Amino acid sequence: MTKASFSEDGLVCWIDPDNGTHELPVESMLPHRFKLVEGVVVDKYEGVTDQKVREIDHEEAMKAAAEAVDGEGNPTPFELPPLDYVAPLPGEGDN
Amino acid sequence: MAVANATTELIIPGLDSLVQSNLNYALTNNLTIQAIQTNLNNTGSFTTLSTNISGLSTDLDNLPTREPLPTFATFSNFNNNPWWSIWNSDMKYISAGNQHTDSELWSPWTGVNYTNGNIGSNSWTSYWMGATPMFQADGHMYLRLNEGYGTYTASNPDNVDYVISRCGVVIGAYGVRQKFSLFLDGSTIQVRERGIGNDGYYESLNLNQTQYSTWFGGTSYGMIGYNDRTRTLVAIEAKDGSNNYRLHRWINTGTNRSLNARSYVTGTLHLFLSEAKTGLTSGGSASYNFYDFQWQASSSQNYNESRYRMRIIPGDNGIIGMARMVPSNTTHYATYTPTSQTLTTNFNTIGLTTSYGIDQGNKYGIRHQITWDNYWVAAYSCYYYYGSGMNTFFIDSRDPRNYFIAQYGSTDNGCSLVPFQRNKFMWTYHVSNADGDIGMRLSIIDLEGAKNGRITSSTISNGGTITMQNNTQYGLFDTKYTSTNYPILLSMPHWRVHQ
Repeated sequence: MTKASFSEDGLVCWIDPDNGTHELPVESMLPHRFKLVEGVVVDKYEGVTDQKVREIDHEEAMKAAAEAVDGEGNPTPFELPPLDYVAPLPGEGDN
Repeated sequence: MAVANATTELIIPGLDSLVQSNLNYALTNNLTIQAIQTNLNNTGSFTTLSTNISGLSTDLDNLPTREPLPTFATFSNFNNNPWWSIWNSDMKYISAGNQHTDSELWSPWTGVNYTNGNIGSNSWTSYWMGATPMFQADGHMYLRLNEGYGTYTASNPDNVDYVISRCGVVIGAYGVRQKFSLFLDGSTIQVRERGIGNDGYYESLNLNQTQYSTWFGGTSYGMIGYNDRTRTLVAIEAKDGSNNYRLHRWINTGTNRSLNARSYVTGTLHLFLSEAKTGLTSGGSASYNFYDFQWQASSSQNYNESRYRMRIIPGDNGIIGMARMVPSNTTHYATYTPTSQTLTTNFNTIGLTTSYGIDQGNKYGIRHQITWDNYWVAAYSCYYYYGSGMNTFFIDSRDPRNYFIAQYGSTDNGCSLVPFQRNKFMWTYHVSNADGDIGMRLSIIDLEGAKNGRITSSTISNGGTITMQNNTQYGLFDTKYTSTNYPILLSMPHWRVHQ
């Protein structure tokens, strides 16, 4: 299982295959889903796959994008590309 | 004697000739005057002096003059109240400044450029000053700080982003900061003023000419790197969308062929490239080669970011490092060895969650910084969506096979990484509020120590993970305002105050 390390307060995780201090409860490359509570690794996404984590995050991100405002409170909504986005080649309409 | 005014002139006959005679006698017989005349008449004396001064001037210009150690600024902008303090590498406060908020380049982004909130998954909308991809060795996309109050220091991020996203790594001599920005877009290569965009350059050439290269005709968004220590320029073009590449390498150690000269002379790039192509230069050696290879991994063929935007590090030992962000997949690394025409990809990788590169705009994607000694290049991308978190490769420009990795898997805000002391970076994450008695949280990343196998209180081996957020220093740096705020670090455009 993948190893990871945590900051002193347990809130920040980083994947650390060689020298990680804790084994993760699920195979993952996404450190933001984990925290350390009283010495125990907690998966905030309750054991789903990394892909499912991305889908859950994307729901939140799309909501945030639709409700985005600048620092003055002016609406600045925008759209997110879909999770399965593949860039067209140059000359096919992108960049 | 002659006395004259506007209406009267008194003439004493013979006086003029007497004066002239005495003067001639003095010029002919006075020993001091004779000595001066003799010295002046020494053949070539002034010519030799002039030649020597010119030669000395050239030598001085070519000296690898070390520059002051890096300075950096702590910056905050709470509700359109932009202030910064400037510190040197001894952690000494040396100056400060603030920005007029009623200026042409600042005011259009009022509200976007605040630091009193987290960006989360948002794009260029709010609190964006501290987003991870806003920083690069060439400069910050929005801020070019100076010392002084009521200054005008903003730039136009909607213009600068196009340039910075296409500028590559410039590795200078020991202690010499990069003097220019090296730009490549398609086959257009440009030497530009560092950090300035979007129009204007010192020199612009089309590489797709036989006098310069055997160009394939592919695509490149800034896949270029220059090492002034070895006078090696490397440009890579993608031959297709499947990560087939052509790597071009020019070497020109001829006299006055440094691209990183203190005062760039237009035409140097033309000479550098064309002489390398012919293999003929003066006062050094010149060569040009190109190499084809494919590096496709982790869906890298699916994104323009990973097709066309690698960071290129031409090492002193001839090995070329290449760091790449594959959005929503990984940040990874490879080397290419021209002597054996070998691509090596078995380096540690850093995972990414959903994240975006240049496909979603020029403000997003991989960036780079370099230490004062020019030995360590940091190639980094965000971790989450457009600008939060950080995945970093630290690459040794002496031998790009030496590297370390680091990750800050934040979903809340960006990070900033600036050169510090000789061979270190200063790092901060913008997630944590500087309110109350905390102040900014700063971490020092000691790469030369890591290369020697030590990091804070433990060991590390090549390719190991550096923990950026450990050993954070609290309470050292105060910043503007007393409420929730997320200040950032900025490298100063000039490291000497009043420069």
